[in-house]
Amino acid sequence: MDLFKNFRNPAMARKVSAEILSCAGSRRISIMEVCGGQTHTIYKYRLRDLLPPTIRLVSGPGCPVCVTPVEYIDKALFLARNRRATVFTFGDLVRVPGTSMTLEQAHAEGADIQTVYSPLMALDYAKQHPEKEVVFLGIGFETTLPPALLTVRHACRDGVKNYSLLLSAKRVPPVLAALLSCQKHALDGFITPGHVTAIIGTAAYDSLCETYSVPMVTGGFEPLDLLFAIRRLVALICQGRHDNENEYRRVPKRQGNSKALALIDDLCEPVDAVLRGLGLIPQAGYALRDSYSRYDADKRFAIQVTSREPQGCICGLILAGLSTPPECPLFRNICTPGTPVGACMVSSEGTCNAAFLYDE
Amino acid sequence: MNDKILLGHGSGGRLTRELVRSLFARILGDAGPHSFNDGVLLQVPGTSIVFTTDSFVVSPLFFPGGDIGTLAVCGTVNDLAVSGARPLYLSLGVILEEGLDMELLRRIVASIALTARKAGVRVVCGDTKVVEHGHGDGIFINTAGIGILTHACDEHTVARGDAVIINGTIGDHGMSLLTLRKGFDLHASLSSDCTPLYDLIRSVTAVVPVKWMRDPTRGGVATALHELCEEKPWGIVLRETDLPFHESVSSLSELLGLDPLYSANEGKVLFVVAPEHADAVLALCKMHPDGKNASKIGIVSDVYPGKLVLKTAMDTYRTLGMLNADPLPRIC
Amino acid sequence: MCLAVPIQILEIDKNGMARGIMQGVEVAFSTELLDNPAAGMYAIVHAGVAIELLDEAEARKTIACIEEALGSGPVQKLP
Repeated sequence: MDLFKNFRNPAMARKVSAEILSCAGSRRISIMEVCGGQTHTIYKYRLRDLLPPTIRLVSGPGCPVCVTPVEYIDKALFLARNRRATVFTFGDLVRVPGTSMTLEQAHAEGADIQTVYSPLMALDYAKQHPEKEVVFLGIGFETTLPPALLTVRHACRDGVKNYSLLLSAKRVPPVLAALLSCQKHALDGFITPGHVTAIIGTAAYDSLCETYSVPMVTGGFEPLDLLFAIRRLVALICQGRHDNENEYRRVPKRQGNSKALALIDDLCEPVDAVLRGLGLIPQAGYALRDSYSRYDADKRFAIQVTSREPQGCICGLILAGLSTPPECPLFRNICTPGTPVGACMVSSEGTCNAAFLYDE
Repeated sequence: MNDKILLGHGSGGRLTRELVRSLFARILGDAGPHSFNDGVLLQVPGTSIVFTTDSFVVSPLFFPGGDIGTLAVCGTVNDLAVSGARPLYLSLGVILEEGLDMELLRRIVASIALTARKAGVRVVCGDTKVVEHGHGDGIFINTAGIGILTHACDEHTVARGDAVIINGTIGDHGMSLLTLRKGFDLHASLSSDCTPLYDLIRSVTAVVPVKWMRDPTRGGVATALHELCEEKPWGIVLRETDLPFHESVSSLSELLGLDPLYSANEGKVLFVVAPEHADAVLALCKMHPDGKNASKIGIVSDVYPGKLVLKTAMDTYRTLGMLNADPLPRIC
Repeated sequence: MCLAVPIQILEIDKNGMARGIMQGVEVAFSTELLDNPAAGMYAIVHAGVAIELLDEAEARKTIACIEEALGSGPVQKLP
């Protein structure tokens, strides 16, 4: 069973595209996806070219690198430079600008910053080097949170004393609520993120659909997965329905992953959180509970930073789907993938980065 | 420009180019090069010599399919070969770190000897220096090479309809080394493709007039072709479904979110030839042990002047940009 | 968000760490968050941790739908 090729069939894409066109007609529709991985697929396969121009596909704040506040990078830098901690991170965070520099630049100056594919490797390192303070930069939404939390559970279980997590985890449903409660939004429907939904369950979106009368369809990550989700959403929008459905049925379930949810509930509590460019959103983040404060880098170290957001950057408007990269005064002249100002330009899922690299 | 050297300056992409042009070339001025090709053609009375140099800092020193010694020979002889020259002589400069195991050094030099013989070249001069422990990564190598021109290529003869051909699977070297880096608990039965290419290349150029050749090392196939198209009145369209990949390279790309078109190759050559010669080139490659998976991967097109474009598996078209610095594995 | 890929489980140790294979690449990952994982099943793995098991029946159903849709009538090539 080929789980890639079957979902990249161009003949099927043309068929679905024709169905979308015949359903939507000339109706103007705006659909938002909130997942860096889905943004990436849309740009990689130019899926917008398979949709009529009357359907606007907007990339929302689903790129965890893009919504990480400047202050978080500054804290990570503080830990690496002032506290001489060995800092482990996912690769895409190392070029995000803090107030004065990036993690990559700090590494060039001698800070011990290492990239890993999994937080489990950071914990392994901590066990092998008990003389070092090891911190993992736990950014992400509900998909990436459980792997980070597993390291805390294991550290607890194995009595590891030199490991902690700098957590900056965000929650998708409150972010969607914040976007929907903003009067200016012109969104007709949402594609919900397939792997976040595998953790939290499709039922998590029921109340949003009801409260805001907007349909949501869970989508996967292959081009056909996204086209199926869009086709279903367009049908629901044209019928005036606000159902919550799943077009990625091979992975997320209605109730989500109970073990992952129990892990999250055990170790974390929801808190208000700042998303870069969007400001403070109620209950949009997670913090480690007090009983785990020895593994919480925020509490373990006396972190002191003064942070400043970059001037002129409109990442916030772009993340909310209210502006596009070409409308930013910095896009392409001051802000480029080599010299990013805002986080939307750093990550390959960032809307500005994708627009820069992939648009004519 | 940055005020410190970053790892990205060694990636072969935009940062590297900026460093070479805005610092080296600018300061060298009229004491510097006229162009930035892999090998430079020098006119010496009676003959045309191609001269090139390359440095090798690979880590780890040993990897499936080769080691820093194999690379040190292949990198330079292949630069000569794609410049249309028959490689003849190499210089070998090494910087050794104090404390390097003598046995490791023996193994590396044995690889250099083996690869040099395979490539038909001799190492005729060299230099050795030692730096204090902690100031080098075991060993750094520089090789400079001299060859004699046998086939002159002219990229200005490239025209609409020309075929772009590669002799085998894409991204093997870069991707295989990635799995050896710390931080990735992945194991692939993937080897570096490091091999000397003059023999394969000569078997093609002896029969067919090749318009352009390049070995897509740092920065990968996309960077090499992007450099070819830049500021030209034509562009190149690659077909995603025609790109040959080793099964493991495809998997690693999915797992890490990396694009193998930007991964280094050390045993591959890109040919651009007139359309009527494409079949002959493919046949000639496939007769050679280093060309079994040769494939026509794209064509020169005047629909996209100055651009490298990919016709995706979904039949849509996407521009392939220039590499900025080494790509970061994604979590998303 | 999330770059997660389906990897076939080869074996699982007593701590829940699995060895899996995806087209020639062996990957190590944790299966602690899965319900009754077993060798032969496909795990969806993100950042070294399996977040869900692939529902193979649903996957085959979707693939069959695609094949049926393609078998039933000509597809117009878009301009």
